[in-house]
Amino acid sequence: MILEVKNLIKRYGNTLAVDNISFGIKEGEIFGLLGPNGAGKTTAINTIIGIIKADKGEISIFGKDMKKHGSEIKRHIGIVPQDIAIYPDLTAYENVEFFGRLYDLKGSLLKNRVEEVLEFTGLLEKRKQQARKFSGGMKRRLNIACALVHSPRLIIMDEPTVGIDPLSRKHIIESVKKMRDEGSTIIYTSHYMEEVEALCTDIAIMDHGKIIARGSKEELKAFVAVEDKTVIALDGLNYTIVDRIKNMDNVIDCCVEGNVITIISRKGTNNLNNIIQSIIDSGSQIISLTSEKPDLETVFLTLTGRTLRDEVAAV
Amino acid sequence: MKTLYIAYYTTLRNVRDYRNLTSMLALPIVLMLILGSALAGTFQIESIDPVKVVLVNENEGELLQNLKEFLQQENIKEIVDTETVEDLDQGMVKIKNGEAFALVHVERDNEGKIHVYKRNESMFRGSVVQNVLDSFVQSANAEYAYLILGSVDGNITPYESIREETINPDGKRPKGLDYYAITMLIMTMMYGTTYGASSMAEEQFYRTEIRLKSAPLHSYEVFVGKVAGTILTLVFDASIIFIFTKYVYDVNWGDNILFIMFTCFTLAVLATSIGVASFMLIGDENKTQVLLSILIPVLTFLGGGYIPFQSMSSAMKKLSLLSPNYLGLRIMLNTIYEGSQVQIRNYMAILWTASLFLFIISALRGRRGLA
Repeated sequence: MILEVKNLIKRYGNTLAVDNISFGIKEGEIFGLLGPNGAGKTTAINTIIGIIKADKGEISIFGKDMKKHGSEIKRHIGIVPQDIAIYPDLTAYENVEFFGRLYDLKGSLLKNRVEEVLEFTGLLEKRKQQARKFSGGMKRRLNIACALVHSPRLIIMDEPTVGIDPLSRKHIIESVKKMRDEGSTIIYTSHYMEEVEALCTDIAIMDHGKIIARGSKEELKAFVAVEDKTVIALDGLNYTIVDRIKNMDNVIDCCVEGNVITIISRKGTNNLNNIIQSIIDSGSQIISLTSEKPDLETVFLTLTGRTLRDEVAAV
Repeated sequence: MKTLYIAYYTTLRNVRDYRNLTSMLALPIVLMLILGSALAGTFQIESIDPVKVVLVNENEGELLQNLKEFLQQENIKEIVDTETVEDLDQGMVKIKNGEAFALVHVERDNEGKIHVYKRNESMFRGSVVQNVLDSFVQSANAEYAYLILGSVDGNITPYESIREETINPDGKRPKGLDYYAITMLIMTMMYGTTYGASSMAEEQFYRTEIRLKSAPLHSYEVFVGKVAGTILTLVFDASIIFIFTKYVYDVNWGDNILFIMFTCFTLAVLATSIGVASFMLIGDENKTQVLLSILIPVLTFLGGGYIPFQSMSSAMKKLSLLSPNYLGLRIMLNTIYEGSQVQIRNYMAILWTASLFLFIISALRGRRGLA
């Protein structure tokens, strides 16, 4: 385990911001921390990296106790804060260089690393431009570059794609995938389900300061799903096929609307091959096929009774 | 080393804030020109001829004889012109008629009491007479002390203990522009308090606080770096004003340029400490900036920044001592016009002590905040 948290508690007055959470992260994995605003994600992260003092709990990073070896551990952590944390009066190069110097980088090593991370985030050509002139997306990318300059072993990305254009979001997601492929360990917090689904190997869902579910995305979906839904659009629909499908094992229901058949099966039965074969045998032609499975949004809704986006929109 | 980097980048960011920098530099440069031209007539230096003093010669006591001898010494005669009269009334008439500036009367009973009566028209001439007599008394006391201790130091010469209050031997004197160049430079330094407050608040504003806290850094490294960066910025501002006024306005900054720059550095340290302490105690940048933007013009006014000190009422003059601008002004005037070294030393000590005190308060407040 590269990170291990045990019974972490953080209070603000009477509010329990982090409520006795425990989890571990293996080296090389992307750990997704999912939850609406105010769920306690940022407080949990800031407590883990020592910015906020925990009221109770044990934190071990790289096998070392954070309380005893905080300064040493911090050298190998890179943080991408939720708010853009850069100096607008400095150029992109100077911003990254400054934060690199705080991690004792100097000389040609510093220069090379600054250029590498600027290239990685697609800002090398804009390195001489002051950050104040950047678009929101470019500032977000610079925010990431500043966190990566010292080649951290553990990268913490707190909502790195909030409020940016789709192109910059795509660039950031691709960058995270690249880091994952290079073996970086990443904690990724977001309320964007599709990002977490696309990136994370292990996901924890947090609400009201607690981790309410944890597992791979498949495990989490399986946790809430009770049935699979398959929707097939056909050309030359033969109505006898409906009865044939209904009689198949594990099929709960099959109905037709126009040229579209909707089939409800028991969860995890994998009878799609049989259904397709029956349709082909009946002489109908498949135009499109959609297998609808629960997404993380559904998982979150099931677990908390709230949707992530509604929470965000309300803030 | 990290402290130096923080200082360097803090300075760089301050200097790149062109809007703020322009107002910091343009305001004093324009103001000193306007005030210097408009109030040029105020800066007439009075005659430095020997001050006319009447000595009442009505007894033959040892003290009076010694005083007469003392006043007749060549060094003293350069600054005090003594006329002897036979009685007090005769001397008083001369004072009333304006024939002499001061009257010195040694009491008959020879108890060592010397009375001085001065016309109330010139502080400068009054201080000359006072200094000469103080010097005589100190020397007499020293001789008396040696006598009591059983030894006599034959090398004692009374005028050695006269405090140097030179009025520039080369005939240089401050013009309006010279004076306001100093006061406006000091005002600029004091407006640096806003830099001090911003330097502490900006990490919250730019959200970079989290990066600094998550880096392998001690909080004191950040504090010292930011303070040093602010001071460097202010010294940079002072250098620009200094160079501009010296070569464009032909302002007389005297011969001791290094000490003038050291004074600017001292004021930069003080301004930074005031700004930092204000923010630390108030905890809100906007409120701090409002307070400082009210405080600095008041301190500048009290420090003789707009109206020369000698034109102020006596009550205002007392209040002036509370203004760091006044202390800075006296240090610079004394340096440029070769005035009181004692005053320079004392006022420097006050400024550094105040800075140190404010930095300690800020550091303690910062630690409490972290806790």
